[in-house]
Amino acid sequence: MTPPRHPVKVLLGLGALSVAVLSLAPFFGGYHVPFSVILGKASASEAMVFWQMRVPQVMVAFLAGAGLSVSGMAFQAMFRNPLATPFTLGVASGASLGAALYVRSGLRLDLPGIPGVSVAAFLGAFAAIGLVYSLSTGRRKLSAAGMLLAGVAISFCCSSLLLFVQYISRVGHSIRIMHWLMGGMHVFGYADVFNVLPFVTSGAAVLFYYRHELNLLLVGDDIAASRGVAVGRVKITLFFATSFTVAGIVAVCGPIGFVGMMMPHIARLLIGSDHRTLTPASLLAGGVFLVLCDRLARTVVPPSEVPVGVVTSLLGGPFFLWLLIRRGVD
Amino acid sequence: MTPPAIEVRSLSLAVGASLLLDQLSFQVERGASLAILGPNGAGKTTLLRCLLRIHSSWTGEILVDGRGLRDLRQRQLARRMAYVPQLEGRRFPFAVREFVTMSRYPHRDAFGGSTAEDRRAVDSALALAEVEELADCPMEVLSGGERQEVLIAAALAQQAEILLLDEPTAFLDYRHRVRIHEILANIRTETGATTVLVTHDLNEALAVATDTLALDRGQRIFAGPVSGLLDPAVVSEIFGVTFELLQRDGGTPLLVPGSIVKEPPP
Repeated sequence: MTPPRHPVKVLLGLGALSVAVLSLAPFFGGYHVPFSVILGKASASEAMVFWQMRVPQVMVAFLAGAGLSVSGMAFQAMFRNPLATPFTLGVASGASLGAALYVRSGLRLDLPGIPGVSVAAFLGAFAAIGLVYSLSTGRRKLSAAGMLLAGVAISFCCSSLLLFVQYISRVGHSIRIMHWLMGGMHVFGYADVFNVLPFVTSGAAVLFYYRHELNLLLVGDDIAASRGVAVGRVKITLFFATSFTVAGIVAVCGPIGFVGMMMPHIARLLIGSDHRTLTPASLLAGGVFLVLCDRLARTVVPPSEVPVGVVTSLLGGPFFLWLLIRRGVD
Repeated sequence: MTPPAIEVRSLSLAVGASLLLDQLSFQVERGASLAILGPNGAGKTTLLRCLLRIHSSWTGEILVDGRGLRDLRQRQLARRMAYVPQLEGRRFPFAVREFVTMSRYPHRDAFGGSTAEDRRAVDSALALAEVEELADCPMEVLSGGERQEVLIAAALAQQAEILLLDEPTAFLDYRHRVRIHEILANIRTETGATTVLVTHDLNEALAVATDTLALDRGQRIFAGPVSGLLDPAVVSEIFGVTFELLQRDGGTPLLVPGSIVKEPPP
């Protein structure tokens, strides 16, 4: 793999693509909304669909894709493993379990500006990553590969508990949990945009702040420490920031698979492994990808909407296999 | 009087039930070149990892430039001490110059870009490790020997006065071994750096070191000038193998291993 020559050009290209996708995507969906809606020349129902559904859906999809992608990027660097993602480390499943327990319990945990379901998701995500991390620093230190396996095990436990919670819930709760679990974005109005936005922007800002540290962690914890990175403190901060981002996304959109694994790899193929440029590239690539998947999910079998998680997993499964085979051949 | 570059007093490190380092004391004078010798599992790499603060649960005292290791921030330590790790099992998805520039980390803050001083430090490090012509190559296409030289360049770019090297010539062919010995000699004459080198190879210690420290199961079993290794009885004690000393006209003597003298107790 040769490093690309012009990271700035790649970034500009991704930026232009993002602008194009963001501005065109809202016109497509179950049916096409005429472009004249911008000028206020469409019917009231078309205007409502466009401004109150399509535009916020596209914004949430972009933010969620960007946040999942950049979180996966950070995990892949810290574990030096291409299969490290918010899912394989149990973060997303922990967040899902937290959110499902919250829906089932009927408690109210709302904080000013943050809905209670996000708080619950965050608690679940942090419990999961805390467990994985404490296993890695305990008396029997786990290797990065060991941590991944622990994460997968925790992920399975959380998924089973989640199914159990869903099974014993009343029908109304159960359907709500199931819809959300399949990774659908049932967005109406802008509240959800603002429920996701702070999680993604703050997480991305922290990851970008630590771009030099991520570069050094990618070549080894010992090299990073010897170059002056306070490895333990930086890793905890990064775990916290990524869990925060993933939990905020999962609470609104459900656990959307594979974005966090695929898109950082694709960004890396485009722009190389330098996190100074890889971080923005992962954000943009993840955002564009999830917007396209979301639009596809809403267009393939109109008028019903396939949950976007189904689309990303259908694309992601084969990609995962391709990655495994390619790594095996390396 | 200037303090020694590194001073270690009663250093012990236990992980679980096993004692990896046991009451270890030694010091490295400024400008010296110390070879840390010993069989596999003696605690050589563990000792380096304590010095770098990768291990932190040790007891005892470690002073770098007369300052307690625990009183230094990680960046302050990195400005005093650089490290060349073992090569095995790593991926370096960067070009050589990019990777070497990453070593300027302890000299810059989060928002600053590369300064002219960073570029000068990188250029002179590439020159001193004799890898200037590889500067634009991706690390992934380099041979093991070239990669080891780049790792040395990267450590040099840190401009630290102390350089730790963990088996820098393991798995290398003779040509790259000799090259690395030459590079280490050049580093000492041109920068006056203190070097600490972990090795299995007695003849490497004789070729590049001024002083030696031998470990066995975490304990110090020999310390002194490298000429002390010229006694076959001493080196048999360290490695549990008989050695024969071959004197050579106009060159450093060679130690040749013979047969096993004792089974190490379990």
